[in-house]
Amino acid sequence: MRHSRRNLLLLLLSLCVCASSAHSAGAGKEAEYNTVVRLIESYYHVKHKGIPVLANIGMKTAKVLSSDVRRVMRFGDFKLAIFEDQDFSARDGFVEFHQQLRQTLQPAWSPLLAVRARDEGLTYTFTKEDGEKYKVLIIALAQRDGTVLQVDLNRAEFIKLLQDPEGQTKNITDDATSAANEDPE
Amino acid sequence: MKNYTLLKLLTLIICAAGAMTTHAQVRYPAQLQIDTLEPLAAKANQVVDVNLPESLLRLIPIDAIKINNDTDAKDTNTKELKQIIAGLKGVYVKNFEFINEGEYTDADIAPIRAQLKAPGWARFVNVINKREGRKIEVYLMTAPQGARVEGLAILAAEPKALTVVNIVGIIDIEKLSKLEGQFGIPELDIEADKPAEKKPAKSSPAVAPAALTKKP
Repeated sequence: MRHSRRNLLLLLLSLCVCASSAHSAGAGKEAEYNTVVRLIESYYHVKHKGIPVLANIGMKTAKVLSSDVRRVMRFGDFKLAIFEDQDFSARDGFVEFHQQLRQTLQPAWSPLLAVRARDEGLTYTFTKEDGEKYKVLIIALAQRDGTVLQVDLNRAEFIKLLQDPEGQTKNITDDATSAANEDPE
Repeated sequence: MKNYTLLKLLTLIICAAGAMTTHAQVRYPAQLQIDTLEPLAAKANQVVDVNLPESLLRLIPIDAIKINNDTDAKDTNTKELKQIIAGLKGVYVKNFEFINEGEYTDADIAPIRAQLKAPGWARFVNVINKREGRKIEVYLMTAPQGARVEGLAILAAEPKALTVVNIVGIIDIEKLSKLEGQFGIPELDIEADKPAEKKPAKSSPAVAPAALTKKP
């Protein structure tokens, strides 16, 4: 009797460990995107504009959507923070921001692409496997504007990104930001 | 005894839970620590990094690969590219562009050269174009038996640019040029010579040497 109770306790303890691991992994999904947005805000002293409505546009309404929005729908769930008319030139992010961003996201996220250009700004693409979906986090900062975008890609879209990291990063960012600028009405 | 078994079981469960949240990355001998060049970023006008580890390359179905300008999927180029990709375990690219000439020196590349002195690595091709100030070196990592190439590194140094490409995996370097423009690998003007034109190097593996030529 005493043994079976101890076994039960051990089993419960094991389940707790598993549950807490899974919970921390799930919580991390949100935390990393938010942490990146906060890192940009604190590093460059800028403020973002969230687009919380966007994720719900196609999911919960049956409106006729424009081609841009429909194109974005292929991403599934996504989060977008836009930095408009902010000054990203005040601090050089070439080395220090690069290091801080990597420290924030790695090893949970794998760096796929990093383009740092002094005249055009910074573009980063990080990826993470999440079951059958592939999470992609894109950070694009120009002189006056910036975006942080997290999207879920299906396998086919993700493979396209792997084959042409630079071109597809641009396509995904363009699609998401153009949809964000559209009036859903 | 029973307690010991339970303890083992518990340890296994905890390990399994840990493994679910940890991303283990295998590091192959041919994989260079390309980030040792990072200090050079402070001097550069543009830096591009592309990282495709094995975990990502494995996701690419070989049948989905097609060279952009190929109209026929059975085209030789696409076939060869598929063969190359099947053996890859990682593709890593780091490219620096500078505004002025002479903004980097040999000392800046020293951390990479030091890694290429490790056992298994040998310089296979060294092309210097003095007129254009261009120098391209190709290093191969061969298996201990020397029978096959397990990785390669390309150092392309130009007056205003520096590119390091590290390809990990089994590669037929005759077909190396097929990878240009794929997976972020820049166009390095790598062209394989016809086997009849050059004799294979004595210490090199059983593949024809590649020549690096400037395309018109």
